[in-house]
Amino acid sequence: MSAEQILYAMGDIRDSFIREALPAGAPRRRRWHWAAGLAACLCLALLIARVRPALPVGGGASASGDTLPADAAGSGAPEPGDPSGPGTAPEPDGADLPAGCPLFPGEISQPLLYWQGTAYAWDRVGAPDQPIGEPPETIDEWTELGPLAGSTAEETAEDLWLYADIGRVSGAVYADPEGHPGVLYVLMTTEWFEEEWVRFVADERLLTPAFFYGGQLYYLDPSQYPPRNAVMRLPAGYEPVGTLVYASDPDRLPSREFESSLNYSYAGSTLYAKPGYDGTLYVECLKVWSGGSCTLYAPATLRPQPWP
Amino acid sequence: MEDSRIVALYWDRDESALAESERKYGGYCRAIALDILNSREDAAECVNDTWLRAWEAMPPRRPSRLDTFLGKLTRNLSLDRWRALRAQKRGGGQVELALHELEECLPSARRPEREVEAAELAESLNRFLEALPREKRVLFVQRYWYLRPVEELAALHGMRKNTAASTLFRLRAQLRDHLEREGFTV
Repeated sequence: MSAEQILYAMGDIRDSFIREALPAGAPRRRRWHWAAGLAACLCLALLIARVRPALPVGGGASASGDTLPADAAGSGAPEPGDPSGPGTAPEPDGADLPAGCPLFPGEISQPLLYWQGTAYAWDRVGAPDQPIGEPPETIDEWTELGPLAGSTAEETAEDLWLYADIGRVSGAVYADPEGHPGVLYVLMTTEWFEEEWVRFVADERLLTPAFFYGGQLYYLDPSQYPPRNAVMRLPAGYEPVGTLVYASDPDRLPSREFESSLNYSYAGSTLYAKPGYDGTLYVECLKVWSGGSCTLYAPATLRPQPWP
Repeated sequence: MEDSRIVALYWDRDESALAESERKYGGYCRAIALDILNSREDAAECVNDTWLRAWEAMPPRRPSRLDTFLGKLTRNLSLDRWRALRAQKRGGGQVELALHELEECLPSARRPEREVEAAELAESLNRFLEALPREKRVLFVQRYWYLRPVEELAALHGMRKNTAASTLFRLRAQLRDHLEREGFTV
């Protein structure tokens, strides 16, 4: 037997092993149904403009950002004096969703799902660290609220109506209000896709990678890993303060020191803080390309950073 | 388009099956080919060959999972091309590294020699993978099925490169023991 035989034989392993190991990033995104991609763009355009001020802030860790110091206002930009400046991270290899793509045909508003008087927004990408279109591992423990009542072009606060002009929809809605407040999962079929899990959130903080440090939640650029605003050199005065760990549940906000909501990219990364300054932290991240790799530093802010 | 409809297009001998395959799985297959071949041109040719192989295979095949069916075709085609390129001294990339690493898995020749059947070996690999904790299995498959660089896997799994490399080292040693236990030999 030779190593080459093993390598070839690996090609015939069980499909389920191949699927579960699908590396995050480009392939996973490319597998995503195009309609889900459109939905992503939809939320991208509207989350910032419309839903952010409207959405209630649900359960989870301590509130953050409400008493935000002016110098920490979520830009993610490095502090003055940082010679590398923003945007020094190399661009990814074309794995991103197309910018400015059209919304659903006939779409007039962002898809919102109402339940018990709360609006849940269609999540752009699903829970962090969870394969797109798949439910949480604990979905068997969630309560089935019933079928989707339908979709409507007229705004409504009726339970389980989807406020979106996207034609026929059907599906079953699942909730776990005590364990996972602010999140609904729908096993949904529309005219564009069949039986895909779609996450809806009532708390915008669940839309973005976050970690808990110093009693506060900090947020990273949600667009990609490494983030576009990562810098090549750590600004002066920053010191390592610890290592991020995965909070193990992407549908809950991190609530313990150093817990992160994103596993595969940030868990195990060193966190840097500047003594006496809690405006911006930096998280070590790794940029890998075919020719090698380098360390970058992603800024983390007290306010969720907007989708690009 | 759903996979079942794409498969139906192949069965109907409708050439739009190729375009739909490219649209849905082109990126996925290109990523597989690119990691093996390290050349965009070669990877693109392998992906095109994948659609043609799929055209030849369906019918009679009706794969239940189109993504892994196409991914396996791409992987095999890319490895074949890599072998040809290596003969022309143009090979390289992750395959050389993976092969070098997998040599550690070769069982010793202490046991009676057996002719190794590819299917038998794959079944043995399945049993090995099944017994692993999910996280380690994913790491192993990402390295030796997808042939992703160790640095990238370290980043994906939130571990340092050395940790990823040593985990893979231990997994290869486990695989060697497993293959020996199952009677495989060099």
